[in-house]
Amino acid sequence: MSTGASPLWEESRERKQTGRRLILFGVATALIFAALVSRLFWLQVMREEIFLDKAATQSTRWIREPAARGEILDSQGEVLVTNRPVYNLTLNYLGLKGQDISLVADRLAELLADPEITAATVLDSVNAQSSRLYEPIMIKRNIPFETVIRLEERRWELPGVMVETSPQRDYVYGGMLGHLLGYVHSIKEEIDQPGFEDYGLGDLTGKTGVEKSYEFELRGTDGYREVTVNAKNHPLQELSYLPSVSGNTLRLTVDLGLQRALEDAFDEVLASVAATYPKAQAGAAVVLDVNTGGVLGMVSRPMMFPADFNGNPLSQEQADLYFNQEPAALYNRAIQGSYVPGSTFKPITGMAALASGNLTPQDRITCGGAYWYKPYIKCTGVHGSLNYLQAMARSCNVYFQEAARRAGIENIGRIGHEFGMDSKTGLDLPFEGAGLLPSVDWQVTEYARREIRINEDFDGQIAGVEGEYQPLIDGAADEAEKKRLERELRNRISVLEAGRQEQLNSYTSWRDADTFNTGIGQGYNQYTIVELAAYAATIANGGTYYTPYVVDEIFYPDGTLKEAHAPEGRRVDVEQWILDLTKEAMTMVARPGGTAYAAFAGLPPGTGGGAKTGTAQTGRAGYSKEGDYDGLFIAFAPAENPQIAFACVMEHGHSGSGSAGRVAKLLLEYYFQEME
Amino acid sequence: MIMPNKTRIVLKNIDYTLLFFLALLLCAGFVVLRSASVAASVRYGTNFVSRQIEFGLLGFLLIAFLQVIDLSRLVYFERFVYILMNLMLAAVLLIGVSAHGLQGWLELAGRRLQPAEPAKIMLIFCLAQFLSERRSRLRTWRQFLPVLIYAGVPLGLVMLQPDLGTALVFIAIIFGMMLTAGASLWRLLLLFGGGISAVALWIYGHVSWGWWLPLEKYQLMRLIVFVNPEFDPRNWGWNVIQAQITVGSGGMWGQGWGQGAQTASGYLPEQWTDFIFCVLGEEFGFAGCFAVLILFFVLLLRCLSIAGRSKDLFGSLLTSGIVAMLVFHILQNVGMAIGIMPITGIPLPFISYGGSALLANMAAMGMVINVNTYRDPLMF
Repeated sequence: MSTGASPLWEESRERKQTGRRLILFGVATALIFAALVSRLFWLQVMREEIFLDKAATQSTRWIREPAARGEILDSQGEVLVTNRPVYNLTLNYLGLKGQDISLVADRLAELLADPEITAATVLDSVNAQSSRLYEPIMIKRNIPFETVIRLEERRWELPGVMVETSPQRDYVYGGMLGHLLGYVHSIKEEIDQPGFEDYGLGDLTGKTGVEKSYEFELRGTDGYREVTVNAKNHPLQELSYLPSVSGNTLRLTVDLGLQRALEDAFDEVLASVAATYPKAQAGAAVVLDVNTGGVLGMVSRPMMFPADFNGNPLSQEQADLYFNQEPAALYNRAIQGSYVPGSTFKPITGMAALASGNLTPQDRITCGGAYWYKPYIKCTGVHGSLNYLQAMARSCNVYFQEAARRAGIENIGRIGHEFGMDSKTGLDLPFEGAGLLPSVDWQVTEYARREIRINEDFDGQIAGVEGEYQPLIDGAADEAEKKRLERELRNRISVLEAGRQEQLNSYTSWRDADTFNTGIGQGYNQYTIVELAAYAATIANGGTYYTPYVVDEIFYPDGTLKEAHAPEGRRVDVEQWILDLTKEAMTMVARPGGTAYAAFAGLPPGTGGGAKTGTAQTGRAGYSKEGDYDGLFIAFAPAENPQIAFACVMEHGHSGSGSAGRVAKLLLEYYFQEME
Repeated sequence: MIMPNKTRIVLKNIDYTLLFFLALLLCAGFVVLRSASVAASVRYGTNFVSRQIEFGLLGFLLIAFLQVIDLSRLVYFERFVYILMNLMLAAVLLIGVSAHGLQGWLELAGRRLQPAEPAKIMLIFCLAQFLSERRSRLRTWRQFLPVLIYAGVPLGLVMLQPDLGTALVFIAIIFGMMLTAGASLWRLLLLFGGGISAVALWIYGHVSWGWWLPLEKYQLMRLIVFVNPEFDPRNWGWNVIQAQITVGSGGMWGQGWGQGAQTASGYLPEQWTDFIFCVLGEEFGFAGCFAVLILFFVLLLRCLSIAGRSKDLFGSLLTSGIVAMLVFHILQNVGMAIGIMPITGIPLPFISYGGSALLANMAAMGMVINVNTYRDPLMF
């Protein structure tokens, strides 16, 4: 018998009351259901009656009006990137409803006669958007006007096909400055990242360059029209309209005239070098304003044409050019490529030696054609007795190996760090690479990594040998055979152990030869071109390291200023006399007798500048041991009160002065001509 | 007594009519869920319908299992269940996982559980015993007090999460069970009616004169757009407006299964759970909505008649608590789809997608059937 029930529950007064209450409960429930049903009846049956005299059924649609992307101007206000209206071919799924979609796709492919668009790709686009079919499905952007006319003529057999206009990116100067500007393309993995919440499939977004790093400034805000449509999807009336707001305008630090001169100079020299050394096809150069860090010019080759992207699929040739070939064109070699700096690194070595106190500017070191410590690295000539200024002018390998030895790797690492050589410069472009400065910090982590790798390698080999012998030993015919096998195994293991020890000795400790190599810009050193330019600019302006940047000002669409860049300068911790002397040494390089004189010969009197050449043995894949060198060049100008700094690399350029130096010469000619 | 005899009586006493209507409702749910979850199934990579069917079958097993023993014999566990329920709700507050702005989930062995669902059933069980011990002693405010304290503890814990939807369900359960327990009618109406009026006044004061109000912004906005959807039609009012457009575009006979343009376009968030009634409305029209509501109504009346036939007050209270819970769920869920209730995340019983909720509701039906199965006090 359960607790709640008394034997008298059946007849009790409470039971009668409970029964009455349950009836009340039922009535209340019925009332609630009646309310729901009446409201449903009103919504679904009565209101439909009201709408019947206007249209069968009515509903609202939101039609998006895409915002125009912000313009990009050069420092003088010349328009570099703008927008122009183009025709886009879209499919309206609601218009297709009840039609044979594959038939429409077939006709469309036939009409467009575009090898990239087949009936299958059209159907793929429809399927890819299956969850958002009320939005137009983009089939092809930027179709020519003749195609628009052909489509209109055959309108009746292409239900659901629509031609609409939208603003498209217009890169006024084609591939000029292409890498810096970057390109826009259909959104992909970004869509899940923070900040991209209101992007839809098929939207365009900046993928590289300024287009990417300033995406949220350039994008603007889309507008919407809220319209009612009838059952056939014909618009009946506009309910509300929210106009779109264009993106903000960016004014770059880049000077269009200087940029054009830089690109022309680079192409001219590249073509002439390639005539002798056919492997020379790629390279990069950067020009900085030494007093702000603003990028005045930036070039990377092979060239990239941003308009090739713009939301349409790439052709096979374009995909090869940009991604697959070597050298691939998409890559911005000015900020993404790391290069062995060669002799352009020597000013750092020199400053490190002077700062260490183990070398004075007057100390003379005698070059006999090769250094006197192992591995006896050769010099470019026999220079005799040299002081600091003379050694820099001649780029003497013996002097700078000795300078590196006296400075020690700690000091070279410290000075390199002061000049920002061990980290990204932090300029406002995406995908910037960082240099590799073989400082003590770097060594510690690198050696630990190598030690693990070497040990893993030999542990694996030893285990393999043991695994090979163990079954033989176990299955040995007699005791003598077993003994012999065991001895053989011990021998092989001890050979491997010796090999391990030798590799650990060679690769997991810093050897003197590494210091010598580092001192002349070979060995582990690797830097980006923008890092080299920023370092040259720091010497040129007397010791302030400015973070490079490309966007100077941001304007609202109505032209009012939103934001202006304030140069970020940091004093380097190097004594002023060392900086001044090194700057003077670099001007010696540019004078008669210096290795970079060719680049400065013939310039108007009173101009001049400072420079350092570099010819780097890269040891990279595709470079043979002899003769395959990258040509590098860093410079600043004019000699008195320098204004610009320059860094350049020409891959397989053979020599610094003969490739990158010639680019500098043409650029300086333009620069001084403009100054007048 | 020998067991086979008992088994035979149990099998004979089971309310197969109720089970039949329940199965019909579940099938209607699978049909609607099929078109409501097309896009979501692809996005989340699971077939919502087959998962829901699995949970439905599991639910029928649960109902069968619940017929093994007379629930009236388990009332001794009331204290234990009451403490366990409060511990669960407190645990959610302390170590719960947040999702959608409320801290309603517990992670156990890698699975996410929502203690609010079983807590509803546990509250009904405990309150049924608590109230049946106080039968006909709910006539003065003084006699109301212990009940309000007893039920107020879990209610407060749920409000702290803050899970406003479940809190409202708790209030509906407490009201329904006190009504059945014979509480003084005018006191009951004064208490709950006065409470609702006071809250409405409080919110009005907050909006008009800036009174302090412990509501999250989204909760307040839901209430404001309930009164006036045009207040903010693109954001907070969007769901209110779109829900009615979706239901309204169904007309008398609906657009047809899988043909709903609003459903296919994904105008409504979570249309496979909270807004599933809109899908029913668009695709099956007034006819479909009416049919489903009639199924619910018949099911609930059947439950109330079981409550009337119970051998004891405990069974009557247990059943009426479950009816109160289901009625409130239906009123709230359907009501928000058609604009007569504010938007809260409350699923439609037996129709909305969701394993915890479906199993809890099936367990509730199992308990109602149990009351019917053991309705004769002298049976065993």
